[in-house]
Amino acid sequence: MTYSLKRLLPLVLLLVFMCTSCATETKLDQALSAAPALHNHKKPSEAVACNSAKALPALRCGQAPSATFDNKGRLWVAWTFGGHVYVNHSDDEGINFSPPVAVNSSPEMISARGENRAKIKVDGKGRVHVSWTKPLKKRFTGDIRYSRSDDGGRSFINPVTVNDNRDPIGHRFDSLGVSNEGRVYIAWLDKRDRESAEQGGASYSGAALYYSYAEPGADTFAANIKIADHSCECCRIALDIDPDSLPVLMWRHVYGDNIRDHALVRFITPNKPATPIRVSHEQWQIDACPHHGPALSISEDARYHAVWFNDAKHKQGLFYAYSEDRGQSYSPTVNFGDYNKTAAHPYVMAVEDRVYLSWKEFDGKETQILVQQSKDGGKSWGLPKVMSSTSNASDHPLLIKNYSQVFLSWQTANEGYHVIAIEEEPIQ
Amino acid sequence: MRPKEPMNKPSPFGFDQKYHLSVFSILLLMVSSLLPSNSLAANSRDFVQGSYAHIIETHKNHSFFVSLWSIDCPPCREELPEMEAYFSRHQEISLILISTDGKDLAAEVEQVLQRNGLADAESWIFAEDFVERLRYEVDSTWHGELPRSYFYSPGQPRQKISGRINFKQGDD
Repeated sequence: MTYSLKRLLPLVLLLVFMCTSCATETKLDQALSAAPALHNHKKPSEAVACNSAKALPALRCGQAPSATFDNKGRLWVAWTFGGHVYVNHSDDEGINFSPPVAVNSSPEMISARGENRAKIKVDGKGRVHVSWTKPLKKRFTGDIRYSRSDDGGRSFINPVTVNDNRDPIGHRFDSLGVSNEGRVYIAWLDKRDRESAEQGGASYSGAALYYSYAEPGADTFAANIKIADHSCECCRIALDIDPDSLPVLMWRHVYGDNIRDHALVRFITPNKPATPIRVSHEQWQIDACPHHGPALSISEDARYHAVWFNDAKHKQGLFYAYSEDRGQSYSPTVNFGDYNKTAAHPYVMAVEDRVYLSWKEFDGKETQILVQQSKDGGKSWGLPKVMSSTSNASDHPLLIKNYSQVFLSWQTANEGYHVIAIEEEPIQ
Repeated sequence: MRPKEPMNKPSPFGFDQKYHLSVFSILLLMVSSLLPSNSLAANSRDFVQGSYAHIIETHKNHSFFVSLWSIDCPPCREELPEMEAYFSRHQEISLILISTDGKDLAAEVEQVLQRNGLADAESWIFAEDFVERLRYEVDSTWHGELPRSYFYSPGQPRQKISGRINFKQGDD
């Protein structure tokens, strides 16, 4: 930008003064060895701050945790610290945790912020599965990584790269699902088709949704399958396993001229996706990164419960809908949360007829996590209740379940990582 | 549920279509020629609690354009060079850039600004982890999508724009 020197000079002098207070810049590469900046979890009783060079890997300092319960009621958490994904577990629903175990022995860059996080699932045989996105040197590029423990989380296999296109381009925003028998499903946003199109001089909106799977106990993934061209390129992908042990994916798609609504696909076999179906119709037309992916939960009776955010002119905020025919058609949408309190990052968990929604709001002073319940499969809803709150930085809220008990899983800078059992509203 | 302020589509410039930018710009040019130039910064300043109010107060007497962006947002990256070209031609409108990336990415933010000829633009960077509070101070109805822009003109309600703006079209 061109400015005259005469105008610039007083400001240069001002800047010399101002820059005495400028914080030291950190290079991207230093992030490997630095403690995470986003979550500086310092509890009053703990001496070492998470951003201290002396900080050791600990869940309270972990970036963007994911959690799951195994079929014995053990809680497993995966989180990122200083170039490693760590896993630890709790046998008392999150009060005490085992020492953390590093999944990747060699440090590498790991996406663990906002819509990105390491994922963890445990199959019916107790194998612990972990996936994450490894950013490469150039921005918007990455590889999809996977590792597994066959010995109850004591050690993990060397991570493998799932994307079979190894160009230094975008393979990011992994999502992980594992069937009870241990078949691993991973979906992600992939730029290989965009790169090809652009090399040929054509334009290509967004990214593509790609997918692969590995048989139980295997370290090798099947040839990558493209599910759809033109996904939104900066939103998490929702993935759940349906009663047929096959994955169902939901993602923000780019329809036509930058209309960023949501689509869903189920699978006929592990390597044969059905035709994607459009789920949302708010018609949010925007050439932007919404940074707001959907969530999906499938109940035992194969009802699909979906939540998402959209900000179209007349349809704004958080939305919920369910499908009783495996994603073919959807109930009327329910608009929930307080738009004027930036209601955001919805999550959903279904346990038979009970459905739980959670999301984040900010009222100008504190961030609250609200929960709303339905006990008739999403047909009617109770009132929103504040489940937790914080007055500092926090992660997105997630819902997990231990059999029929649903928990909020949430990392906050002040309080650290916590899981909170959500009390069922009484049936009237 | 609806925001109180008008939300406009990002075409042709994101401003309400009843305004025609070229007429607008001429009027602004006449007024702003008497006002101080854009404030410039060699490095991004820390955007903390109260910074947004400071920015509004600093620029309240003339028209200015606030762009919230991130190095991790492809449409933002595409918008930067077009923004540079547009505001070089329209210095009557101050440009204020606010990166939401966080201080740990400050070096990369500076590189991107430099590469796009924006090293001298007024630039801020989110410097608190409590981003919900920073975003709320900008706009309680902004849900974090990027780019997010605001156009302020004295005596007018601010206009908010989500998504990439076609600056080339806006100059026609």
